[in-house]
Amino acid sequence: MNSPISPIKSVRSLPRWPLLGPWLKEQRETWIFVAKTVLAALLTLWLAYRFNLESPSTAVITVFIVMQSRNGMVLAKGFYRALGTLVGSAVAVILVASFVEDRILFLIGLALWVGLCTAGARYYRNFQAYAFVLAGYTAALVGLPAALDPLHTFDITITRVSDVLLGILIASLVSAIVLPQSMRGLLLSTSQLRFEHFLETTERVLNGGIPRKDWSRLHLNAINEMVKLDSYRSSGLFESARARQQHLHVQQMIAEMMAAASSLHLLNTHIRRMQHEPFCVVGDCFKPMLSRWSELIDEARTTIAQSPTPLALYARLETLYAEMHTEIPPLRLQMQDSLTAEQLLSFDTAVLLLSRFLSELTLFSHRYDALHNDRSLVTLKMSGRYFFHQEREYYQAASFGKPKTEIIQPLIAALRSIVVVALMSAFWLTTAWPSGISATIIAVVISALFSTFPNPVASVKQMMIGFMLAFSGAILFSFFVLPQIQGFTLLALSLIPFLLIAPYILSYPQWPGIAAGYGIFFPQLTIPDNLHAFSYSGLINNGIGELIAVGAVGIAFMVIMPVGNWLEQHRLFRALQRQIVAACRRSLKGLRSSFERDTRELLRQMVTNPTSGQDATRLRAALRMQDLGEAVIQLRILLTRIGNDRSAFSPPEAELNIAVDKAIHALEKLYKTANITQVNDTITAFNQSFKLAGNLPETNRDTSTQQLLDFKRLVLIYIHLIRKLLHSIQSTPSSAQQMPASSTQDTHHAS
Amino acid sequence: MPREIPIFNAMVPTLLLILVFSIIVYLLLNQILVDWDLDRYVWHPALFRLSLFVCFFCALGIWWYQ
Repeated sequence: MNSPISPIKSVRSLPRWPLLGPWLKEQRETWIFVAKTVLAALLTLWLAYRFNLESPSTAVITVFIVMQSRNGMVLAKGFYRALGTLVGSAVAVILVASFVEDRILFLIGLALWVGLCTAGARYYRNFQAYAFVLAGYTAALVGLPAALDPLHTFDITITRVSDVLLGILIASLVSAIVLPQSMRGLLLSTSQLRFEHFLETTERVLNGGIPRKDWSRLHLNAINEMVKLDSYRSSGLFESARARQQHLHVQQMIAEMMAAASSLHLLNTHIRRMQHEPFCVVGDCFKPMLSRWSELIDEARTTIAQSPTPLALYARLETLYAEMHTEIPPLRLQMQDSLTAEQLLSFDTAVLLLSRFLSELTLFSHRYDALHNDRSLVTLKMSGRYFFHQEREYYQAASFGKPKTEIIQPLIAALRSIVVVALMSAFWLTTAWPSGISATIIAVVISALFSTFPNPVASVKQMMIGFMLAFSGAILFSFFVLPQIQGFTLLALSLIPFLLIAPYILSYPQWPGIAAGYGIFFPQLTIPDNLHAFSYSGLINNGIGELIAVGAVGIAFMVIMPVGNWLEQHRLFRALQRQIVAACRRSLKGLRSSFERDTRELLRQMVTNPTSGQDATRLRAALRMQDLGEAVIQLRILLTRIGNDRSAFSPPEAELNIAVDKAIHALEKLYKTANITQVNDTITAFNQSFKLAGNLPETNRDTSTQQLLDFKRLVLIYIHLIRKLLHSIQSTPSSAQQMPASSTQDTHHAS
Repeated sequence: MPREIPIFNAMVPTLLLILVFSIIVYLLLNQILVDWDLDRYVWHPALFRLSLFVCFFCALGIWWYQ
């Protein structure tokens, strides 16, 4: 497969110190980013002093918040930050104008607005969520000082807006112009990683299957990687027109990846089942073929690790496909007589799942190749000839932009923010605390910001550490360095070591909270304002006030409906069940990709700790439901073939169609009411359709696309799959868990 | 030429209007750059775009205010 130059290349690329190269590369990227951030911060500071802006520290904080390693992310975050700031400022002005006499009403209005914005932030994802956060806390940042000094409301607003906009502008410019690091590289390396992991999983499945416990972990990893890929895609939109052209490519790739992953899961279950009696005979038939496949996948995986282009993997998959077509029919003829009906069905299921997975993997690797080598979409048209091609219209690009969620989560987040704001401002008003205003502002900022994080308590803890660092840095700088220096040049030089801490910490992906805490609080506490005299006691007082605020928010996140509370879990599980209802009922166009996406999204939110026992059972139930929905959708797609050519509509087919419709309807009802007692009725309905499908004549309906199995076998396989899944749901009634009422239903069912 | 123009009875510096106009022109130019795939001939696309914008905006501003 390799060209003759490869030996030379491999000798030349042999590194002297194998670990040093990647390490240096990584360090280089990190320090470029650190240098860019510090440069942008100092440039902003200088301009803020030159323009006589009211609070240069705000501009510098903005630089720290907006600055990220890739240009596209900076632009996206900057854009949404600007948007949020503008909206929040406008609301602040309105609030001050309406409630200037009554501070209680003003605070209530503010708390409601912050709650609303927090709900919005929880509802959306990525930087859209960030815009909501900003709109919420800017209203507090501007509104609170303005309410104390209503005559200067407009000036305070303008100050805030111009400081933030200056910071965004400089950060965007520096990130785009000084040694730009583009989004594309990150997108490609992330997708490469995902592809590698996918092949790894595939190899393990082919070598005998993955135990369910491992599968859950892999599945969650895969979902997280996909969400990451999708967020890079959405940031890339801001970067360049080329990225905008690629964006559909990536979206489509994610949809295909999910489809392939679902097929792989069904295959995994089946391969594991074939290892047990009475299906061992069937399993042995496929052993040589599977080992050949896994060898090829292994080879592909190692070559991908070396160079980012798969060596026309899809072409080799195609030969596998052809091989399968020549080998399977004689094998089946040979085995036909020695196998029982059940074993034969298992054999056919294996054939179906393998060929389906193969065609989906081919499509996925083709798309991956197109993305990496900048091929146009036109070449992908050829992939239409893989079988199931008439189902292509049911795949649609999927976007993770708006997380599928329950309305309950935004509402809880809103409630929490409102409570925090109310408590902090009540404390401030009753004690007439001089630092109350800054403490309240920080409380609003943090509670809004962290409601968008997957694990807010841990993030608040990190923020505390960042804050401690910033506080000690601020004391060191203000008490010992600041009195010694004069003029901007010296200030800039002495700030450099303090400023580079935040971006350096940010380069460690496990500590974003520390970096954010340091980046926000250090400039805020130390950077001298243009007009105000600096006071040491003010620094200490504000610092302590803000520390208390951060702590209070942390407590609120731990106490008020913490992440993974029962209500949230219950609602998410119901939402997942409603996905099955959708799979039974909704129009087929685009259904598969939206089902794949939404179930994954829900699953991701449901599981906070995959190793804990409760989450593990929940995850198992969710995975089973995903399989069930998948099988139902496939069955429905299959049945459209009857509907499409009514001219050849034989009576057994019509009968089958009605029976399957009835069975699917029963399934829909089962999941709509979540009443597990009905599962027997549903199984009976599917048994009935299974019997009717057995009466179908053995016609080869779609010889062009489906040479291995005829229509009748396909219908039988899918109905049987659904039946088996329903049986496994019945045997583990804990899948209906959580609901206190369900325990009584279970006992009723058992009796 | 007037340095300030009244919009809704508020005096707005003409430079602001020139800025808005230049941004629109810049976006159009950028679209052309992308459509014709001219980025290939540019060493540093972002810097090129910024320079393009600065040149255009400054030229208009100087012409107006001289």
